[in-house]
Amino acid sequence: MDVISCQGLTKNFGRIKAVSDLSFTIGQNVITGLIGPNGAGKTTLLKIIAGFTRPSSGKVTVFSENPFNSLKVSANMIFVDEHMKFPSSLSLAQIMSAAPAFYKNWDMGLAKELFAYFSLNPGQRHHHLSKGTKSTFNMIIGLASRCPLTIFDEPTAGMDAGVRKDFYRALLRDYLQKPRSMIFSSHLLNEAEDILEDILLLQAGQKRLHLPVTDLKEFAVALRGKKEVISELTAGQEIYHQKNIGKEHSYAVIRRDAADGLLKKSAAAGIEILPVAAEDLCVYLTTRNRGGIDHVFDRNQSF
Amino acid sequence: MSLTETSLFEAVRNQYLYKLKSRLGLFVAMAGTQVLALLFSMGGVASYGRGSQYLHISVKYYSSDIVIWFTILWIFFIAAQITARDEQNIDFTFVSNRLSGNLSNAAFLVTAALIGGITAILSGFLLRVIIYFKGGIYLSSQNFIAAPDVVFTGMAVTILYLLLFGALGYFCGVLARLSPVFIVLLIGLFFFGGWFVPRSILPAQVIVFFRVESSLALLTLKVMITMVLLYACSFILSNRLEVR
Repeated sequence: MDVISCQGLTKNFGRIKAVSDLSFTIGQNVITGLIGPNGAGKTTLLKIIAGFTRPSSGKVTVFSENPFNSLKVSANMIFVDEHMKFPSSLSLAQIMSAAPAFYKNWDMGLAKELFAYFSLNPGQRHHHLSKGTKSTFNMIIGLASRCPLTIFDEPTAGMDAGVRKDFYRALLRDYLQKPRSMIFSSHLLNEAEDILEDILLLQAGQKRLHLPVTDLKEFAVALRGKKEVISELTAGQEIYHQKNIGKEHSYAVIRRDAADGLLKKSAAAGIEILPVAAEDLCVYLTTRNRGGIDHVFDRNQSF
Repeated sequence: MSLTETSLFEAVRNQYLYKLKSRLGLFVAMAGTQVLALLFSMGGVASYGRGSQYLHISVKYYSSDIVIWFTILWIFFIAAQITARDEQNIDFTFVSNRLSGNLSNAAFLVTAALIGGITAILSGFLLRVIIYFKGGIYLSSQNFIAAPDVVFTGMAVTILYLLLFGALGYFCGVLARLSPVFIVLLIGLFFFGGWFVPRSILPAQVIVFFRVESSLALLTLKVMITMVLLYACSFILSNRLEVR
């Protein structure tokens, strides 16, 4: 059974399309990374999935139900982000003691231990917490609720490096103990790469890629060598990224399947074939300008 | 991981209890409002005096009317306040849909009306005790000792008015959530409505409809129907609001 299924999902804000004709499915017990640059539509998509907002057109089902106003979806889903709101009159301990009534799978033991590990103060109010501590507390709520669908929208905002590492570790350990579907959004793949199984790459509200991380790592290769040879080899192919190295050499990223046939040719022509890190590839695939930021400066210099 | 099932009743009950706990401060505010109103009542809510060369009589009426009015204002404002976006975002942190959030708010306001009504009427006894010990005046025994049926009727009527104004405040709050235009419109209607609408029709008659009703059963019926209508409109209007 698919946990989430979207068909032709579109969300407009005025004239701007935040999400545009998006179709994908997410199965059970998979950790999916929702990756994309700022403004790619990650949060908008997640809010539609959570039933907080309605799509302008298209169809979305979560646990085979329309999530908007669905109690079933709400009871089996938790949406963790930095804007999570709690009553300002309650202390962190009081909030934690209120949660089990809502979530039947709530694990109080885990919640208390994480609470102690990150040395949070049970008497403190949520709105007095620093940004990073707030994110830590929200993360504890998100993990301990043990919802079949757990959504983390940029959960590491404001966390320091140590806490962030612990968070990824906690997430993975908890997932292994109680497998469930998780979506994890971030503009960068970096540290999250190791815990993700699938990647859904968004660009300008559209799906760029949706595939397992292992496939993403194999998805592209880079060619490095003499400029003329490279442009000859890559003629007629989609180049994801290209940059010049010095005056005579250049570096180009292309699809691996396309490169396979070129392997022998390139070896003969003195071209190196290099792997491309998944994180870099995500950036290449979602930048609007192929030449990258260097291009802007190079163009300016030529005047 | 297997899915859990939650009924609407369960969700509303959980949200109601959560709200009761987190909004205890509103009842502290109510107590403060009532104490303030009690202070205002100390001088009597109405008085007249007459005198001749040798004799002067001053008659003062004491009642908890001001307390009741202040409690009505309190419930109106808290009802409008709990429709705020932040409050709805608090709902949606945990299990909720728009209907369950609304229903738990209505349940909370009914609780507030019960507590507000009972305390407002009981404050009348506190006022009696204070006046008694203040001394210096001759107390008419006629109403000093209240008959139980009068007290309970007073409580019932007060609670009914609180229910009504709670529902009205909630409805105004929802309108204000939908568009800021309504805020301007509502304030305008409140202060200047009388200029545009002739006194003989709507507003005056609405007040008469509820105020000049001597039968408790009929008043209950009127208030219940109006309350249900107001909440129904609020629920329908807010059922498509986007949150967070």
